[in-house]
Amino acid sequence: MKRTTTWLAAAMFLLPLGAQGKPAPAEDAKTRLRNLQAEQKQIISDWQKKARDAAKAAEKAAEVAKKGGKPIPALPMRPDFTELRGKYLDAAKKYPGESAVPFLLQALGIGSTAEEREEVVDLLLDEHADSPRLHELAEALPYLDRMVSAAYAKRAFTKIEKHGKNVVLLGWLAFARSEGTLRSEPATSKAFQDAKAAAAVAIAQAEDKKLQAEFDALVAEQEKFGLGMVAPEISGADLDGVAFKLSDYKGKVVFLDFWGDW
Amino acid sequence: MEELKDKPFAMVGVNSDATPEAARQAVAANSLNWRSFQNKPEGQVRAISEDWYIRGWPTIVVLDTELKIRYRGHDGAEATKVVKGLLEPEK
Repeated sequence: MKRTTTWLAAAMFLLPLGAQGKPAPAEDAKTRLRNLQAEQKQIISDWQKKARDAAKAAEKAAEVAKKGGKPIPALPMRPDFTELRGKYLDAAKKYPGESAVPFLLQALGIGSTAEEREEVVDLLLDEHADSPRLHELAEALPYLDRMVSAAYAKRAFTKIEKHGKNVVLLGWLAFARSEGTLRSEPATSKAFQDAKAAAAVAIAQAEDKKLQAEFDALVAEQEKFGLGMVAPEISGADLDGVAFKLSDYKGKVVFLDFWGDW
Repeated sequence: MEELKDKPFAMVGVNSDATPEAARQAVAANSLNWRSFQNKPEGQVRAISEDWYIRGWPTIVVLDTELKIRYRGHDGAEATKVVKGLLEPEK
């Protein structure tokens, strides 16, 4: 018994010494990123659990309300990422250069206000515009007017053009700029053809498969199904299995309704 | 659309229900009186909606008498307006 106590005392004394003798290696950028991403996952699953509990509580509250009880407070529409966002931004400062980019992209993804998104996009464009890892930011360019504001999107686009070296950003920028015209103008119009030609060069230079696919699909869709184009034939079967064709209706105005009863 | 029954106008559906049986039930329950294609009949590799780049339901496409596309979108009221414009006698 006595011996055990002595051993325990020695161990308690020696343990911190051991820790001092062998300091834990400092967290590198990759580990920090992984840890923060795990934290993000936990925040989301906690929030989902709260949402489920709130739904159950709401059912109960509805019964109580019938008897004159108080309604329960509403749950926010998304988890609160404020603190985590701060940690991502801190990490981006701690691990500068290229290592900062993944942290900033995570912070961009969980930003909840226009100001928060603007802050991160500015950091990325001002300090990391040469990064080859900006695909996530590039893909967001067509939505930047809705993510922040139209005025900010315009400023950011100018910044990208002025920098002029990141072909992925320039490619997605060309897509963002041409999209409105490609969607609204008839495929036979000069405006459409000009917008298509202008964007095609920058998009090809980006060598980004997703961008190329999105652009090709949009152009193909508009050239086949845009306003003023003749609808391709549909030759199929009705709900009873009887064959019929869309061209049976030539000479009539057709209201073609893609519908389902789900 | 009742007021259009004497005009050169047709409603045509492309139905995406899992089975024609489910679609027929929906037609009966909602008294739908237009004909529908099966979006992807058994044995067909590609659905009509895929060929037509349809990404949201319902989608409405309005065609003029030459089967040219005059509206494509999700707004039933807007589509109806386009149809009525096309059916108005030219002045």
